[in-house]
Amino acid sequence: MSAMKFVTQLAVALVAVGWVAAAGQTAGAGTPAQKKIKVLGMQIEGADLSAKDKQDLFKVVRAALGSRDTIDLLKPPERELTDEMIDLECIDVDAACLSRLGAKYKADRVFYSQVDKGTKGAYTLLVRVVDVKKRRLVHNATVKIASRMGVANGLEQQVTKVFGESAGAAASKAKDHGFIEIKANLEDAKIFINKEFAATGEVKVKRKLGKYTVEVKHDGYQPQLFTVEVTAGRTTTRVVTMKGLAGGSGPKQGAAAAVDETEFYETWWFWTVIGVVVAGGVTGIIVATMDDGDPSPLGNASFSVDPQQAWRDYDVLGGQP
Amino acid sequence: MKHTIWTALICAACLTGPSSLSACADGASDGTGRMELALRDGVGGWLRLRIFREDPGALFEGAATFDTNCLDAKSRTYDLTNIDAGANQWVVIEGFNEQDCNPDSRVEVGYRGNVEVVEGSEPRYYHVPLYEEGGITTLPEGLNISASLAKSIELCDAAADTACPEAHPGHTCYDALKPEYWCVPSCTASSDCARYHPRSSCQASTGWCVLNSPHPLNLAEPRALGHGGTLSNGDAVFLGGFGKIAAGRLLPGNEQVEVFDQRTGLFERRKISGLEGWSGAGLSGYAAMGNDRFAIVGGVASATISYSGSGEDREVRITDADELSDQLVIVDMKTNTGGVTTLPRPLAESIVVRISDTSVLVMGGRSFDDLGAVETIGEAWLCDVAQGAVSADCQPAGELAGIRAGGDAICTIADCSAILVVGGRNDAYAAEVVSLVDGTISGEHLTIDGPLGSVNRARLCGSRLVGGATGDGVGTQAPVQLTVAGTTLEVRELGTEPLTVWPAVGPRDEDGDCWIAGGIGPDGNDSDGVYRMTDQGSAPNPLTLSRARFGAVTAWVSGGPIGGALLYGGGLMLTGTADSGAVDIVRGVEVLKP
Repeated sequence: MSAMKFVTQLAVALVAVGWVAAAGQTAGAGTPAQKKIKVLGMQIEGADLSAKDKQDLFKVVRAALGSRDTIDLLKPPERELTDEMIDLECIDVDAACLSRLGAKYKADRVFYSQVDKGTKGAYTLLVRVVDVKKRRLVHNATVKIASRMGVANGLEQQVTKVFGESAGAAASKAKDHGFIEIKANLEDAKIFINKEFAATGEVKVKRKLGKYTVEVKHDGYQPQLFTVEVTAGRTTTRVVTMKGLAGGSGPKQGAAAAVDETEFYETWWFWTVIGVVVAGGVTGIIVATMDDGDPSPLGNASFSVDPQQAWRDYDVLGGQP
Repeated sequence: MKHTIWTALICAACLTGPSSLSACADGASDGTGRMELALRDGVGGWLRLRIFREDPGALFEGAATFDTNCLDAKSRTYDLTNIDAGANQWVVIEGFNEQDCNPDSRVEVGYRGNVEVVEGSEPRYYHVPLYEEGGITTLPEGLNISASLAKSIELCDAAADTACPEAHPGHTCYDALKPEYWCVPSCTASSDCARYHPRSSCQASTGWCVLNSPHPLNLAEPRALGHGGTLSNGDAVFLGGFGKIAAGRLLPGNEQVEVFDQRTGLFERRKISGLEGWSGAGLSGYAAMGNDRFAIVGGVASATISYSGSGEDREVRITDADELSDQLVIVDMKTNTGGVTTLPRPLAESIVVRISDTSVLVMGGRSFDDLGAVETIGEAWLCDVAQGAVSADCQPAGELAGIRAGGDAICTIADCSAILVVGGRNDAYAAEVVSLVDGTISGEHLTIDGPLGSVNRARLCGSRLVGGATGDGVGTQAPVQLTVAGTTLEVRELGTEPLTVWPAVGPRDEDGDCWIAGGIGPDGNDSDGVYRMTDQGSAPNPLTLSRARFGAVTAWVSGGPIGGALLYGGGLMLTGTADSGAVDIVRGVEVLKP
């Protein structure tokens, strides 16, 4: 088996919570410092929704606000809005009132939303955003939503209208390029992409969509040659372990590729809300391919460390119920 | 029935970081079904998966046929294709922290033997249990199949409560706004769940399909007040005990012996020939004889354990025990044979000490008097079991200085001619020293020099008292170090926190210390605490079991990749309010990897 060269490919269909969080931190590390807007997102108001529905919708709003790099999301008031209004001597939820509220909580902007039930299953959203310093409304919209399922989307759209696309959404719109990231275990290993020298040791480059040939070389080590595919808005990562030429027989090894799956679920709130269940179904795909013939028969298997899925185990016949 | 998935928010709070390992406590309330899913990344920041054709040994030093090397741990399930086909393979998964990927930074290790990689398009699915280094891992049990099959969908009508699309028959809509629409398999009878797993059942209170016992990934059945040990090949063994509870009554289970195979990481129901007539279950005496032979003495076929009071006034009693066993059972795990020898009289809670590879000393216990009433006795028998034999020859061996039942004992010198017997009675005679000469004992009460009172259900770790009750109540006795000096027992306190009752006590490690887990605490509640008792007292340790339990069995692994690990299996838990007396039996194993 020593003469054989194997390439391991790993494609991760979905990613786990922690990784998303880590990726977010990494992405932010290299960006220049930017003054953030302090936004006070108010609890959802409206007489027609249950408390739980309001909480759910408020999660969506906070998640949408929190996913903007430009926003410093403040902790919402613990008291009811009506109590705050009494304290602030407000008569209506208008610009003056929301400005006073914002000033109290040291916010630059206040995001107020109200959801009311209409007829035939429709809903109405009232969204007001006030510039605290200027004491005026910068956004005041009333939107009709045809059905219950559109309420959350409607709120997200309002957030986008006021504060622009989230960083993640913007990235996912980058349809014409992606990134290649190569990490070699040797600091001075030379990395070539499409025969062009790219870096030593480690590199992350932006490339147009398509397939690229990567070669990682180091004197005294078996060169690694493999292909990576750049897909829109994603980073294709390969961790390359160089193996010494005198290493003799060894296991199938080589490069391992991890393809980031981002798109719609890349916002942190999505994971905090449903990541648990989705994470249970996360599956990485590892394909061991051989560059030359191997006489032994090949097969497939799934291995999981997820206890909740253990009932799927081939050997689990079950004990006493 | 309205189902509610609570998982998301509850578990989100459990997250502590990208590689956090957390799980959420159960606790259905207000009549709704709570969907519980553990939120574990499963591995650290890095992951390495290897496959071996031969047993990789404890250090995974063999030649792997497949090796991913270090990967970002982005998933908990991996589909592998184009790997060597064949049976009897091992898969090893190691999780490393986020900083680097080398053996020193390993935070979890998982392995699984008996894997068959098949050719064709239908790969087999294998669970690889991950054992946390320096922590406790709960092996799979009570699996919520419905939760794991929940499907996120665009929209369903929760108000109608059943309106999942036709593509999801048997699913119920979960009531929430985007992005929380889910179709969840639900059930009203176990037959509804058979499509997912033939042994799954319907949890009536919630309407979820569950698989309580995913054997062989865990014990096949619950086990309380039984015994555990280790085999010469490193495997862990569970023996005897109660296996089920019905109408509050503890009853024998179906699996007399189960083994954790450290090579494969799987549990095995071990059939022992010759034990067909064994009727004893819990509250038996026990000794590991050596050479993979175990002696189980007497016991009761059924009993009720009830409690009253609360807090420090709690009392826990064995009531209504019947069918005291007069059987001495020898189990030979090397030959998978056993034998039943009839004792001179029925016995429960006897004190049993291994004297040699071929003999055990049985002292005291509870028995029937001439009128059929239960009495505590002080008689002793020396039982010889020839090498390779599974039958015993028990001869009367004198009497203890006083009657005792539910005590513990250790040999104080290597040839076991002197034995310290502790507890098992409710008076000032807390301990005695027994001399064994020419097959006969003579006991002498010890003068207690130090803080030791009467102790029931005493448990020793070497010469340290680490478990026990005060009368029928919870412990007020602190852990102590015991030293016999002539006719005096010198007692040195090892802490101020009182002992727990019926804890799981591991074997002494190379430092002479033991790990103690669970028991009924001095606050009257079953405990989830796990600590190491050293000669300076309990070492500060943050470990806890995932579930409080008492009367659990400790078995230990002495070889293989998790050599040194302690397996806490089964036990009991208090389930009711102060005076309800309700207990439930616990299934499943938690693994401490010190």
